[in-house]
Amino acid sequence: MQRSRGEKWFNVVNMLFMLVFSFLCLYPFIYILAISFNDAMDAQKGGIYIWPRMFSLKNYEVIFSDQNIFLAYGVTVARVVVGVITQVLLVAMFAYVLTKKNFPLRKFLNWWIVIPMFLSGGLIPFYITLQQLHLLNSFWTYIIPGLYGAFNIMLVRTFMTELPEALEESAKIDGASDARIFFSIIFPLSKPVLATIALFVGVSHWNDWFTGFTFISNTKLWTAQNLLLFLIQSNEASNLAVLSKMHQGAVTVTAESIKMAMLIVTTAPILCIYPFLQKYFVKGIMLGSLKG
Amino acid sequence: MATLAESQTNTAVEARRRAMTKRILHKMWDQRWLYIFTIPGIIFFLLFSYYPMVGIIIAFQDYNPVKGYSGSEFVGLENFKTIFNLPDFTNALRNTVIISGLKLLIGFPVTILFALLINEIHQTVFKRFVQTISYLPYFISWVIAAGLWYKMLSPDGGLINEMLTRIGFLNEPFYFMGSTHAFLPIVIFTELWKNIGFNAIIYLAALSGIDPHLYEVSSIDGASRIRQIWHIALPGIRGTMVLLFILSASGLMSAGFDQLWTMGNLQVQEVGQILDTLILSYLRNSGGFMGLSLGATMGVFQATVGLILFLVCNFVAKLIKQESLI
Repeated sequence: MQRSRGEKWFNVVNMLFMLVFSFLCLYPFIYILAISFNDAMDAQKGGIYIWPRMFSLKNYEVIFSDQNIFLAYGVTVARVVVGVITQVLLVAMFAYVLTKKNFPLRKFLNWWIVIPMFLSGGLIPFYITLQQLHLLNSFWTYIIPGLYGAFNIMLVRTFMTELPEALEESAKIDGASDARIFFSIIFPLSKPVLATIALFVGVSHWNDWFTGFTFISNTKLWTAQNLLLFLIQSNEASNLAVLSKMHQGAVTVTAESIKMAMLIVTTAPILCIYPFLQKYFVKGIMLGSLKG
Repeated sequence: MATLAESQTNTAVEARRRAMTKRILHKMWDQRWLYIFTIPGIIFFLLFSYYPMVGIIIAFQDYNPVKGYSGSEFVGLENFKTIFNLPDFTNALRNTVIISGLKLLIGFPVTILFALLINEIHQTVFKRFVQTISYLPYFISWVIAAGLWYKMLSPDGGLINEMLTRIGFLNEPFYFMGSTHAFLPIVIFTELWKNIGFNAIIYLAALSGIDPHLYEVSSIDGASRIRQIWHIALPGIRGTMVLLFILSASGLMSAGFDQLWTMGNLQVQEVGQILDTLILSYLRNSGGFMGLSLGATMGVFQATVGLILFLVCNFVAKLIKQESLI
């Protein structure tokens, strides 16, 4: 089929626009990366856009010579690992029960998880609840109030409903208990959807700064996001003494350069698993939106 | 005789009842794993979802943490009267509506436009490239996004200021993040930057469901690409558009907590303080007991309006769906 001139122009303009847009999405990361790898004093002169002018690892040295960052990273990783494992397991168990048509509590359980999606007590009553449960200011604040996600339960339930029933029946005839059926048949078969929610949960644990910010005042329990937020929101360089005090010798870093390096350190894991991540996420949002 | 018959039926009833109890217990024992699987979930939602709802009561109390829910004095609607006389609250309410309204009015059509344009790319590799890049900002936290844009817009050697002064547009660096005029456009822009690619996915899914024959037929009839978009693509995603518009309209009371807390600062509080950030600052800063009750009251107000909006929008969505079906 012939292409008219107007159509060609449309294509060119559209692709140019998309290139500009993609650049805009990516560029801030490149900019920060270049600055973080540049000598701090030199970076203050400006003019660094894509590549460092005076390559230096000083910023990262300062960050990594400080114990806080390791502590924060450790807390974050621990929280992601524990949070993902517990949520995937609990959500899968709950969802499995919701697929049992002959289970008398099924209807009740459906409502039990749906109602809180529309009604909630709000932040302050939630805070008071955590206080009464003695859950403020401990590592478990990151895990326990986030054990279940109602949306994830529904996603997994939808997937499990579509598994062939015959598998379960034959196992039942062979005398397998529900627990046995769940752990050796249903759970392994649900791997695709469980991997999807594991990513959802992992990323939200990694990105969450609110829990640490609101419910935890002990800075030893801060996550990397909390440390970053602290650095970004404190505009005075004096607050950075916390970080640079550890570093002996002449001051070769600035508040700005430390912030940029910290930004990269906090983002890097997400960027590394991103190519793998986004495919699953897109699948997940499709599953969720079409069935919801 | 009569008594004998009676006692016989009695024992029969008894036996049947016993058998039934036995059956129920047997079934429960049979399904014991299902009960065990759900007990943690029942307790979880009870503690972290339902019990906090009880806490709404403090919106009607002069809450004293030492005395708790049962010991605090009941004050009726006093707290609601108080918050409506607080300039902080009315200001935050106004900002919430303005910010989420603007996000909806601008973000909604722009996202659709973006999805339509992506859909018009026929080079698969390039299309996948653009999509993959455009989702990227979605996966980072607002703390990171705020950090990136603070630096980009910074008056001390931020890229934007550097560019603008170099081309002579600005004489001296401008503190974008500290300007009440610039703040709102920045909020809208960064929101689009972060979410547009990902939000477009649903439209792209709907667009891929349109019968390709329609495009072929129309191009034989000589329709241009623009006309095809207007007469085929747009009507094809009308249902999705209406539904998403209505659903996001019900979120009018929440304007993006993470974004506004991480990007906000003292200089722009006047335009950047929203209900969610105000409630959090009440929780964090007001050591006084009164603060908790007032913050909770604001939360109740916000949630109630939000729920009403949701119910109304849901109702409208149903009406429209029926109409378009007829």
